[in-house]
Amino acid sequence: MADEDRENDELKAFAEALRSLRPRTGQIDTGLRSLLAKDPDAIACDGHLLLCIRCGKVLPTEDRAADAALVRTAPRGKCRWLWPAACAAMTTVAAGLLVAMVICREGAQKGTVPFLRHRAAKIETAPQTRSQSRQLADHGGPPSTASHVAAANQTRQVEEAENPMPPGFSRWAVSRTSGSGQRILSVGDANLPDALLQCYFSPQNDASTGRKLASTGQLEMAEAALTNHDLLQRLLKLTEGSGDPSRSPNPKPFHVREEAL
Amino acid sequence: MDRLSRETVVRLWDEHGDALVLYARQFCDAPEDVVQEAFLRLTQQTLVLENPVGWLYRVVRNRALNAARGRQRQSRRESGAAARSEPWFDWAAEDRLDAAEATAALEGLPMNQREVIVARLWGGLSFEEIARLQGASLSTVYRCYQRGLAALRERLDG
Repeated sequence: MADEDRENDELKAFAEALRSLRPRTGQIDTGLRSLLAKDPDAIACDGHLLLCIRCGKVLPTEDRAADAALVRTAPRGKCRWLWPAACAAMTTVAAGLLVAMVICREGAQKGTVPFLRHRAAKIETAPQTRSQSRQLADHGGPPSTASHVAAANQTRQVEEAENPMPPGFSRWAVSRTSGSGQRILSVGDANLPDALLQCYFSPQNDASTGRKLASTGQLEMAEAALTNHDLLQRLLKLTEGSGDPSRSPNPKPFHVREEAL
Repeated sequence: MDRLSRETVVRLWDEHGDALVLYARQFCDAPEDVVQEAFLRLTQQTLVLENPVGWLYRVVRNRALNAARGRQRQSRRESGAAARSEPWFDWAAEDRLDAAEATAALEGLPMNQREVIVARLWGGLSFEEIARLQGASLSTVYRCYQRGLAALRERLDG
């Protein structure tokens, strides 16, 4: 019993001697203690510490708060590519508009129909199915003249549908361009005064007078005036009442369709 | 719930920081990192802790064991790397025991005995707290302590 007590006392003394040894903590003693002595809110930064490895100082809280705010407000994911996508889309639209404008301007200078009408005509005249393409291939070449005429008619219909003109003017213009052996009424005649029209429509007058008066400005005014139904009525009356057939080289000088009115 | 006050955390560090480092050193080679993470978790802890010291020892133990497992995997990959050996105690002239010899003697003990001795002597934990920490019975912990202490005395005095 005494041996056990003596052994326990010796163990306790040995334990006290062991306890006197100071555990080594290294650099953590100065660094972590200075860190813990600071504001706890400065430490809690999503579990990360911005600590100087030389002096153990923590980066100021304000800087980290500002960095965190920057990270929160930075665009991420889809928003990151929003402005490049918008820029590319605007550039594409602008390029398309520029190309369309150039094509329309070239078409206007050449006297052809604008771009959209060309495209509409192509759509109308293009083979729509494989069977039509096969028929073209079987016939050994491009479509015939009849199909060309049909395509031209379709193109004109498309033009009229897209840019409708006044009914009287459009049919009048068709009549003006269709008669080959007849005396053709110029659209400039519509703007002439009655006296000039009388003189112009008389058999003694030649067509050069009308052509002379039909300048570009008069043509435009005539186009505008021809939309007036009353003026068409008057022109028709003048046409019917003008000239004696015996004196006229052309017994039927004007070809005016009834449906134009 | 309020966090622990700054003064409380600093006091816990002053009283138990070195012992926790020594306790974590029984398991892994980077005890400072483990203890630092444990204290940082303590500062972010929102729950009220009845026994912050016991909580710290438990966190340090779990993290040190995880670090030891990671270290074992790393040492398996780096087969030629030499094991790091640092002194566990600071040398002082008034110490009755040599710090290097004490370190060697402690390293020679089994893990369970070494853990109980460190937690009891330098950590100041009671046997009940150590038993709860290890998940063992009180008698087992006390027996480990006695056997380990006797083995240390035999190695250092002999």
